Amino acid sequence: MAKVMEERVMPDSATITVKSSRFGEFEVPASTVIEFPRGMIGFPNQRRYIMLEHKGPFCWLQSLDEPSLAFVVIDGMEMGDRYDRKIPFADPQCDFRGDDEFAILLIVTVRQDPTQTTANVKAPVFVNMRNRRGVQVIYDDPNLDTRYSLFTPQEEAEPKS
Amino acid sequence: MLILTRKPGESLRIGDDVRITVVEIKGNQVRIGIAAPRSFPIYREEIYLQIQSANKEAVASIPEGADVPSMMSAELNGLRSPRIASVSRRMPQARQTPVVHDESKKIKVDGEGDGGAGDA
Repeated sequence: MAKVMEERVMPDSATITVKSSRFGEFEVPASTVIEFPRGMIGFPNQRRYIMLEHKGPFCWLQSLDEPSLAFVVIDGMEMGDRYDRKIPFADPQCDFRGDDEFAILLIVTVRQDPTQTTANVKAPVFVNMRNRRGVQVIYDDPNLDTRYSLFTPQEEAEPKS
Repeated sequence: MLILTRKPGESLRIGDDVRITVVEIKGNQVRIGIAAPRSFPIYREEIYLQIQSANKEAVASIPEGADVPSMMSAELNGLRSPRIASVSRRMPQARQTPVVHDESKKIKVDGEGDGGAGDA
């Protein structure tokens, strides 16, 4: 069973019920919810997610609004410094400030051949840990690939598409 | 679709907050300036559609009830669960940065020179 990340003790210990087609129904602290004010791109109406740990480097972003909607993600910090100067300060809803902490998540596409599994480095997800708000950002940069291979790390992603 | 004719230098308003200006016409290319609140991400359409379909493909790529870890072998052990970084540590001059139009960019954003979340 997946485990909630960043579990925090809330004074009022409020919980919220997660209904997931993969993991069943369970309670998590309400404080672990991540809100995406605009949703993920292509999924604008599903705005609340929780992070669930999985094995290895993979985590789940599970929608609270749609039980069958979940993304597999990995840590974007692994991609080195390519996002260093690209934190989405322009997003007023995430409200990034200089002393905030944040996570970068990359959405993974699973292929039947595991060696073909890819991550989308062109459109990473930033989560501001202070307000637990997230945004998926698109970088208009041909060096960033929507299908970055996780199995043959290149020095630089080759523009493929 | 509403179609209006504009000359270079002329603008359109969409609601109270968005202004679109035809900056320059050069051959078969039009340079367009967009002034909009930061809450409006602005993307070239083909890139937006590319990400939209990448997201949908990612969701669809995980079969219902599938054991994802077994589908992805252990070769990825070098990667770990997401870590938390601090904005200031990773990016000292954080606040003033937003960049970022590549040279060839035909969409220009007025105002503070950044185009919403998509371009920051």
